[in-house]
Amino acid sequence: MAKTFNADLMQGTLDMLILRVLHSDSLHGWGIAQRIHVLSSDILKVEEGSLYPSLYRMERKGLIKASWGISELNRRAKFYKVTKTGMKYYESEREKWIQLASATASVLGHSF
Amino acid sequence: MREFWKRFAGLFNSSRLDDEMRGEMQHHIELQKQKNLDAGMSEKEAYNAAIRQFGNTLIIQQQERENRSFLWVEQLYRDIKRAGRSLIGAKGFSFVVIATLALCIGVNTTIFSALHDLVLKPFPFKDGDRLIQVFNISSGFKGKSSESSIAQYHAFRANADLFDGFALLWNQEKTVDLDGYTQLLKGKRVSFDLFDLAGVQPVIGSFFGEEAHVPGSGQGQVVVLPQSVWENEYNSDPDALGREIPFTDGPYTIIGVAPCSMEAFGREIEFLIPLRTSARLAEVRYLEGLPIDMWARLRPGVSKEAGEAQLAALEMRWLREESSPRIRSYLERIGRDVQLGQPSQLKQSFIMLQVGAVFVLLIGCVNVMNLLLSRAGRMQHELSIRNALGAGKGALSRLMLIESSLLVFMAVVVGSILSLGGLKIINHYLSVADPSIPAVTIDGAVGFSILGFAGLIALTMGFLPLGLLWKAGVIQRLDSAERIASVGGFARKLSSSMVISQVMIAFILVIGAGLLLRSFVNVMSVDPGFDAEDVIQARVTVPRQYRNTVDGTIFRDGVANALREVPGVDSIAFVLNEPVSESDVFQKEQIHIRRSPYADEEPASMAYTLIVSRAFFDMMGIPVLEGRSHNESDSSEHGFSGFVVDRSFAEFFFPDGSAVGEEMSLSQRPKADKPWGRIVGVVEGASLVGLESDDNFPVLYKAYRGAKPASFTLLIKTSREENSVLKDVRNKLRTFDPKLVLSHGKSLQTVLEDMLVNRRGATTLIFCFAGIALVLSGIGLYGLLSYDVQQRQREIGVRAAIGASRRSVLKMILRNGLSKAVTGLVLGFLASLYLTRFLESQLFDITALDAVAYVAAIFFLLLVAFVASFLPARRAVRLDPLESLRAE
Repeated sequence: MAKTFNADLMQGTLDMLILRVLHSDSLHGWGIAQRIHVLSSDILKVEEGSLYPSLYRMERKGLIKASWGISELNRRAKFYKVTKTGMKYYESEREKWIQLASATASVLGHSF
Repeated sequence: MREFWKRFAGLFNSSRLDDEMRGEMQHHIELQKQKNLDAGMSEKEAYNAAIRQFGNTLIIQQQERENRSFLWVEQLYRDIKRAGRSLIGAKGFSFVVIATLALCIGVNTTIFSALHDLVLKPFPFKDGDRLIQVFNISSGFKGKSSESSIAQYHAFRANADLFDGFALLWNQEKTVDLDGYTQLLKGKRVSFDLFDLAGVQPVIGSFFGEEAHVPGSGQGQVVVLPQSVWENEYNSDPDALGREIPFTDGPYTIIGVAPCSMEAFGREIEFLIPLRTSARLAEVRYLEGLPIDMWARLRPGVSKEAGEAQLAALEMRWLREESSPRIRSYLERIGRDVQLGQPSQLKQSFIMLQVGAVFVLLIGCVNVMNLLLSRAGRMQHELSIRNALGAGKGALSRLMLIESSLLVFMAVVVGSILSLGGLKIINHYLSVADPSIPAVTIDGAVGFSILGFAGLIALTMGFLPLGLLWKAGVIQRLDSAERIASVGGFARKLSSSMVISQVMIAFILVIGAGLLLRSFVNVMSVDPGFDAEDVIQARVTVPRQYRNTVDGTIFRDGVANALREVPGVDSIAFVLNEPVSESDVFQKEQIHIRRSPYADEEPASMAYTLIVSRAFFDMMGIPVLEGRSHNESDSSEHGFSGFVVDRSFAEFFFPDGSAVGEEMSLSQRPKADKPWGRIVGVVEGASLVGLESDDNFPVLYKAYRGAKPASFTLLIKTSREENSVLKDVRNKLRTFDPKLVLSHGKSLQTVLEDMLVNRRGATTLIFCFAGIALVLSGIGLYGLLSYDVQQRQREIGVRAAIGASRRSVLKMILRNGLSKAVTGLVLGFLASLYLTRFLESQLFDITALDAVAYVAAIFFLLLVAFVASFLPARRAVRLDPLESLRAE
């Protein structure tokens, strides 16, 4: 099995990933962690110790919104959804990240 | 509707938010567990793995809580509640800390308020810090300070360009005749420029100008009233202007009212009148100075030293260019210097007291710090657990800080109450010591400095112990075996060096108190040179009809005869002024000595003068050394012809031979054809200016006869009790003349003791400080050793178990305590050798290195140190080795 990495290796990366997976769906915390894990082909692993603080922070900033729903365990759970501000934020962060990643890669002598 | 309000309130309910968070995480864990189950784990395994993966939910919750923006208020409230609970839990600790700090803060607030009000605070006038007093000081008379002369005033006004101006104030008593009764009023004769100098405007009316000083300038006698008199006696009536006050020497017209701030020049001012300088006073260069206060205003930016240097240079120039060689030699002999500032002893006393109070505060703070350190040591387990549970340095520091702030806050409250009481005592002393000093109050500036200071203490108290524990790495370790070693580290070294410095400071204070107490005892045992115990003095105002030479004599003889009939009265004497008073108010006069061969330029000199009736020397028990005391022929309507002088007069002016038979005169040199007076006798010196004064200033006694004053002092020698005699005397006088008023009756012993009130107050306070310091440093040492014994329980147990005798355990602890005490003592001794020199001006008849004081101080400190070490040592000895081993 490939080596796994923490999703918050770089400050802000985790926020971006969360916004990305909430793009299409509204999910609860566990679902977000699972989705990131799956989307990264089991390489990125989300630490719960980072996930929830990150969620609460973004909720306070108004990037995401929480609402109550029923989970697969048939229990009340908080489902998170991206807001418009969140979308804008995601776009600009994504742009920056790609620039940075490709710049870093070219310095390291490797291209995608 | 109810539902809505509940929800609304719930939005602000932090515990609900916490519940939600907890629920959400729990949900997460269960989903993970489900996933693990699906992957084929057993129920238990799945749950444990999920928990493990999730990590510490508490930390996440705590972080989130801290991130909620409104949280700090909530947290502060919770922390205060928690700190309060924990302080209530440690009642003994809290009580001792609050009591110690309250005492220290109370003492410092009181003394600082007094120091601020009496010494540091500038005058309540515009640019009051530039107002300064000018006075002369004579090193030849042991640094006796005296006031200035009118000639100096004129010379300085004309030539001293570093000053904006000068002004004079001269105490004056006046009598007013009202309905046949005679009332005594106290006021000041002042120069016109005083109002300008102070920068005050009249409340109503106007002040007088320069022309008011010239007698017969067409302007009648005028008076300015202080605001308080105008308000109380005239009900603030504007029509008071133009009214006349019927002083005994003539009516004075009220021309204006001066604002309250003028009371800064003296609280007992009832009137201000122009200082009329007779040609004689203005022209003659008064050598020693008159009892006049001179005030000056420095130009902006000019330092006190520069001003002083200029005045000294002016004096020097006058001495060199204008004075005669004889005057120069006289002034050099008495060593006169001009100085600026406050000649008051009070200033030195209060600075000394402030230093003492700060010392007490330091000692108190050390104790509190040690208490906090040992408490932090005890709390270390709890702190470690909290730390492990996720409370960071920030959270723990906040908790400690809030605890110490709470303690300091309580201490400030209690301390302020204490200082209000302290100020009452100080004001009582002050009103006896010098009624002209306004009462001391706590004002804003003092309050703020105290609060700022208290805040500083709280910060230090909160952070220091915690920082130390952290530095020593104590908190991170939960392992209890490590604990014993760790507490013995840096914090303990700090504690013991603090205790050593405590002993050092306490020693300095005890030395200071010892020196002052010895001085006080010395002053009290000074022989005043007269019989103060059995002599009672009282002021008598003379009704108008007796105020001429013939009737005045009849009046006095009548009074004397009447009083002799009072049972228990042995003898009666009269004195014109008060026979015993402070040196700066004692009457001084210019004298001329006629040397043979006669020399014209023999300078004028100064002496204290007292006009006394013939019975005076006998009843006071002042022995005649040479010649005789006064008789009939020594004074007449034409003046004084026979003088009695005291020993220091004779020794100062006639060091080589007898004074008796020498010619001299008062005030003015007699015209060539007029006869001179003669010295008829020499009497032993007496402490007429107080027991403390050893200035050897010459005293001259004139014979009471021709004067026709409005008041005089009656001296009564009696073996009876003061008050009962005074009552009889009053009744007797009333039968003689119903309008006779007798006031200020007290024994000369009381007068002498009242003059010591300043020294007594300072000595008492320093003594209290030293006592507090001793007790506090004893407690400090005791606390440190007790803590030591408690921490070393196991070690002591082991020692006892392997055969150490009780004696050796006792010795070990005692040695530990006493070695600290002795170290502090040696350091304190060295510091005292240097510091006590600053006390020298307060000492009387002992040196700053007085052996008795030092030995006593060492003895007391060692005693306290022994007791403080013995108690914990005894406890250590009583420990059961098995018990103490088990305690770990």
